[in-house]
Amino acid sequence: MPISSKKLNQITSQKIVVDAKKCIGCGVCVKVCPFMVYELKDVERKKKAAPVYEEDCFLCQSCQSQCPTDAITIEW
Amino acid sequence: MRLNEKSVETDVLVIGTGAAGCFAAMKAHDLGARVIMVNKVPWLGGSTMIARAGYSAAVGDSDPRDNADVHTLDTLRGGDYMGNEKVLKAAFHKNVDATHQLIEWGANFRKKADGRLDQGKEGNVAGHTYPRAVRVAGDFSHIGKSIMDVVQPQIQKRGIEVISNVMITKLLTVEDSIAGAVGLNWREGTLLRFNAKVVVVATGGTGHMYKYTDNPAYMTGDGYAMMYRAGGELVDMEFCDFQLGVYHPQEMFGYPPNCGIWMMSGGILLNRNGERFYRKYFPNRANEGQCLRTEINKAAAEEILDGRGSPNGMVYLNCSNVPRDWMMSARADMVSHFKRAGIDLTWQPMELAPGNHTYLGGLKIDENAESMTIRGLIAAGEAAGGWGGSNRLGGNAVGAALGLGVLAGESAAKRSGSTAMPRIVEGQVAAEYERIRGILDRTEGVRAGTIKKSVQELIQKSAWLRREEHELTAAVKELEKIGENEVPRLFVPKQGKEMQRLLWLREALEAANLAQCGEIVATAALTRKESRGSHQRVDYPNTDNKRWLKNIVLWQEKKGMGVRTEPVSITKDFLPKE
Repeated sequence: MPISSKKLNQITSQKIVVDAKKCIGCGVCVKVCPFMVYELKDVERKKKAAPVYEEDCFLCQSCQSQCPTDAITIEW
Repeated sequence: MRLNEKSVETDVLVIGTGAAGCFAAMKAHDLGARVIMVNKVPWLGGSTMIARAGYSAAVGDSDPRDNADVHTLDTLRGGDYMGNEKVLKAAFHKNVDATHQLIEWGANFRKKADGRLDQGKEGNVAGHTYPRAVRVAGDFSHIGKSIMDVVQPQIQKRGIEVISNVMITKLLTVEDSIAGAVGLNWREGTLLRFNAKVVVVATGGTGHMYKYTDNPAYMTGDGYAMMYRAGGELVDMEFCDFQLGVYHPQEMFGYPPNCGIWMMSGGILLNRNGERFYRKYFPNRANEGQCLRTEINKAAAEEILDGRGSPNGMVYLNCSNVPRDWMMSARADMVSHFKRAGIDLTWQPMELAPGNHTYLGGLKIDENAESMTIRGLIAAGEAAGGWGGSNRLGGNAVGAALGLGVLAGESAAKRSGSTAMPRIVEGQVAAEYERIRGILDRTEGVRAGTIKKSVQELIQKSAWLRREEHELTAAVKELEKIGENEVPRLFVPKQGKEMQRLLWLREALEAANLAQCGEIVATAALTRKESRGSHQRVDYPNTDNKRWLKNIVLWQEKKGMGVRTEPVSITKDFLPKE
């Protein structure tokens, strides 16, 4: 089990929400995220981005800034 | 698609919402100015968010002899005397204030039993005389987050308006004063014109000009390009700070491993033959952790370019000597990140290459952070020049950003109090609207990605850690050509939904800025005929203090780029003795 950074300290915890209706599964978030937060998962035979390692997010917003459909929301 | 228009009026317009922008906005607000912040992305934070290990502040909690003046001297020495002494002094004094402010707001900094900051041990961060690192309690990775964590509620509490998803594309001027700015809301599709007495540019660096960078995806040198186009003077643009980053495997591309901390704890750098290559270049240093960042980068780049790197064109960082318990506690997050990419750091090495990390040049400012050629134009953080010199000491990026932010806020409030609202020259706004609409309306031409790719290739080849006359000359020529022939033909394809097209439009505007910055940087690098800090010329391999204790200043002329050199702004007793 990987140890999450959140457990080690009490710094900002964030919640990443990917709107499955808007997500087109292009994978740009997987590509631009330097912390490997996202993975593409099959949802009803369509590829959708999933913030699997949400707790590793640094809130750099690279994903949000490049998402072509504004599907990603990060709640701080 | 129609782009609607909107007008906004304010005293102080702050562009960028990293540490520098936020502190500038808060300070100006507290001193009574009406402030609006503009953010290219949805949330506050910018590049500050990914600041990892710590930052430097000369609060003197670990050594009472420390103060902002010593910090200034260290930075000048570390930056090979290229920094601006007055700017640094002012910024580092404010940095101490900002640090106390952050503690008061409840920042989760590492403290000793007596409640004072635990600033580490002597010699902990290379180049600093006294220990002055500010770190997060129990953590080595989240200094930026812990700062923004307490800053963000303060912005909300003050009710400072933040307009998100707006990319500012042009600064408006009236004669030699600032009048406002024009921007694009790339999510809603609106063109905005801001009328402001003072504009604080805190847009960060231009990392994505290089192929290798650990900057967030939207750091494209917008600030430099628009300040240059508006008539601002840029200084030190040949200097930037590289840091070893992970560019292989692909899923970790751009991961900042913060290798300074690893190397101080026993990590060793190896080339493909298993040699600890730093010894060849810097035999006097005890280990990799004691080398200045420029030294490590130079050594790594030489190995890579001479074909002694890994098969992927990187060098190895072997961490198997690092104490296991430290690795598993203090760096557990990174161990797990690497594990996810299939690398077990207890016995497998990281593969690293120097990538662009921080930009050290920027707007030429005085000790009030204000431009010398345009009244009311203020720069803070990476967008400002003169705070780093030719090499950045560890921890100075956030340190200077905080200090310059406070400084910028104070002078913004002062300037806006003594200025009447300037009148916008309508022609400037119309021309910029036309340029932006032109990109949308064109049916054929050049895509943003094409320009971005050619800029990255040219800059990576000519302005990385081994620079050479003929390559730089070729790059300048090529970039001029791109600026003349390709940038005016930027277009976004008609197919694609509206939202996608607006993102492409933003990327097109960014690509134009990248091309502009590339030209500026290559010209500056071509001008400096010596090697100093991060600027390493093959054809002039030595540091020439006789001829080149000078800063290079660039500005836009009616035709082409103006270049001049000026003696460094350092008082005599600080200069190197020869």
